[in-house]
Amino acid sequence: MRTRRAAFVLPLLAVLAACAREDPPALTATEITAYAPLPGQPAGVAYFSLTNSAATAVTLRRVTSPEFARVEMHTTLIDDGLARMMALDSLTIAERSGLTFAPGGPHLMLMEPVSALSVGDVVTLEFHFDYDEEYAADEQGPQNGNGFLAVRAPLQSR
Amino acid sequence: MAAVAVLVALALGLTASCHADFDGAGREPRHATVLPEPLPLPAFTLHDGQNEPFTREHLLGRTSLLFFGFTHCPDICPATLQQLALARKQLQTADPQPGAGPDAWQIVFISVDPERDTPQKLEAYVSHFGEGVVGATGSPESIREMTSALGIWFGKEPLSGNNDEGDYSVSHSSAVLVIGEDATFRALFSAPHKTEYFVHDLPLLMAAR
Repeated sequence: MRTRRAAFVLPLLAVLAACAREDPPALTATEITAYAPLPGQPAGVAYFSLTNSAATAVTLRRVTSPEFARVEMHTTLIDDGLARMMALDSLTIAERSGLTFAPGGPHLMLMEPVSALSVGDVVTLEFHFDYDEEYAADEQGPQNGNGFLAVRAPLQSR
Repeated sequence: MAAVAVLVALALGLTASCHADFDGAGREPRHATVLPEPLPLPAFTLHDGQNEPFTREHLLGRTSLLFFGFTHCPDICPATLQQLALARKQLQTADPQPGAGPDAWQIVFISVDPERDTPQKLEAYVSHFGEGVVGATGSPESIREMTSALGIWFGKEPLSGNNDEGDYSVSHSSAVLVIGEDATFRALFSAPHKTEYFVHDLPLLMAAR
């Protein structure tokens, strides 16, 4: 009887252990392109790809940068040939999914530089996420489970 | 009336004319929509980045690519101008082909935000995209005189978000219009734009002039 119970329990424990050993999910930002403001213009723009490898959806609440007093998430909508820009309060990235900020779609507005910036200067983008509460409380939660991700990129010229 | 004709033509999709065989060699524009009949531009008076008059006459003698936007636009406007400038450069350095000459065509960026886009700002902005790019704007009335005849729409809109400084955006048509050297509206590229679309189609459109 004891042997039979062990035969049942041990595989179960193995499965649970495997789950616990699963690589911590992470948020990553890649393909980062940050453009310096064009001559006479107040804002630069940044594009990137975000990957959420967590088993839960995450919500991008805001992006900040030490080099800019204001960073806003906007998107360009093209509807019946009409281009319209809209501010975004937040963006949700589904579990094990990604989101691309690209020309003609979501983009970051880099506004009010705190000091003079030139092409080649490296800027930092700080992404602030929210996780599902239950998931965030899990000790096996995401690597950057505090919902913070920072990346650096040089300012480019268009 | 002309504007109505343009809108009706666009609504119909112009499928048949889009597949016209332009160069007799089986090559045809793949991305541009070609108007069944060229549409003469109305007379208009804008001013360029030097604050000099910019009129219909400035479109005569070479092909012009018209794009309407505003310099505070961080996304589609600079991206489109960059694509057009790159296409121009690629065609200039490509093997000789119709329309590849450096002066064969110009890029005209018409600002629909004259409130913020002074001639000086406009000049600095378009200069960034290299030679062959002209900026022009004018009073809202004079801009509308031109755009309404071409089926181009624009309008000022409040910009939501974390700003309290009265920022605004300007919604605008995203098409790039192809104006023939006789100042007639001949074809248009609809967004999303890609450099390779312009590189492929422009020589064919210009060969058909």
